[in-house]
Amino acid sequence: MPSTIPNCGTYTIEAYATGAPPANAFILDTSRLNSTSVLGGSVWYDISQYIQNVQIMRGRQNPFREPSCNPGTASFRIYDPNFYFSVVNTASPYYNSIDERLSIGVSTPVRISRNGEYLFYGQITTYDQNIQQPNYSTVNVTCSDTIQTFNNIKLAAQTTTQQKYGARINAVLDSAGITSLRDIATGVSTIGAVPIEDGASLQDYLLRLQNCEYGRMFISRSGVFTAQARVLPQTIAPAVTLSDTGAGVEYDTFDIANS
Amino acid sequence: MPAPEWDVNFAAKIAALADATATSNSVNRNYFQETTQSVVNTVNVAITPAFPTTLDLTPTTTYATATDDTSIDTFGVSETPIVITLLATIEDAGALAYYLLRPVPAFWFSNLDVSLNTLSDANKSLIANLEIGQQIAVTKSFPAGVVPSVVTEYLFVEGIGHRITVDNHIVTIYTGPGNIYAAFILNTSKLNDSAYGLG
Repeated sequence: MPSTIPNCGTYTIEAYATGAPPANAFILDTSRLNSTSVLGGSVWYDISQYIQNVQIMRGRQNPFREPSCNPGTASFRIYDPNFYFSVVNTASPYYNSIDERLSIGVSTPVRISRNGEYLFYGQITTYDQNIQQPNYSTVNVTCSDTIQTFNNIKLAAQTTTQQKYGARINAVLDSAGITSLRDIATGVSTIGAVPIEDGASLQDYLLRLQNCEYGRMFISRSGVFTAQARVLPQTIAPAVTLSDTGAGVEYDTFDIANS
Repeated sequence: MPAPEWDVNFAAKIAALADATATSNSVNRNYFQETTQSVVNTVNVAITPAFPTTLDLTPTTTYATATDDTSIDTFGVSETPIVITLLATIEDAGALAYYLLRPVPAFWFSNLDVSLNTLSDANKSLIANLEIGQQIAVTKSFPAGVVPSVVTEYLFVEGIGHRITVDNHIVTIYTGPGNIYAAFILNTSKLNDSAYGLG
């Protein structure tokens, strides 16, 4: 059940898991064909009601101090009085009796949204359960977006042709079997025809491409791998004006950043 | 401030480097290290080196250098090491070197915290749904005696943080400066003013 924060919005935190039975399980003689009912497999479980204190960070804090292409992260705490998220509770609604383990844990896809608009899309990287007194459980969860997984993907040896930045990214993602959604700019730079050695890390290679373009690489808030071109001069077209004069969206605090 | 000078004398910028045979996944790769230097007025960018052959075991590396003489006069030389990229042409390397020049220290508004619970519904969504790469304007007013009394900066969103608790949602917007100009309008905009451009 989504959680409402007064004056802020309605928030949903979902985990893609294989627990049973899902809320929309297909039931013989009851469920309709061609409905949204499912026979099994993973479904998005809404776990919002158990979540406390969500934090999300995507992108970088200073373009002169940090590289682009860092994984986005999210963290939250699960308040678990019923031990539904305990790794030992075989009666948990999220317990997968086929795999004989809790189906929410490391590598489980997670998405966080506000009023139906995603804020983060990634997967669990750490799942740290704690038993508290008198007798309830909390779980501290951290997540990263897809870029985190690129470091474990190794490229096969291949030749390349001279290509624009965006074309090379698409070619490399294709060769790595990455089928997720992409939003790749053409880019300014032209990449040379340098062979890729067997076993090269996908993330390492993307960083080298990023080093040629100096644009931005990130996973969008809805999970789309995005590569933007070098920022060229452009006309004023702000998406929003933040102001302390009452003429725009009010902000609370700010800092002076420097190069 | 005069425009930075791009040194196009590439013929003088040929060197044999230890990792000239670096391929795409060389352990000895070279990245532009994000630096704590506020000023960078000499940038060296090498194109992808040729592969060694039996006739040339140590092929040379060609690189472009961009310099800003005014900045060097003011701050002294602040130079990057030669960075070997996968770029195809010396023109690309020169353009990137020029792009990476930081002739004077830059200062800008960043780390802007916005609490959603004080905003209108439309503005809540506007802030919560901001995405990296979007352009924003930030206006800050100052007390009497400060000139100018109001400063507006046009910036790019480089990072976004969310802190969601049981009673608030604070969005932190991390920004970066960019070359953003107003559209030049005939009979209105001033000539020779870098604040206006034709696009």
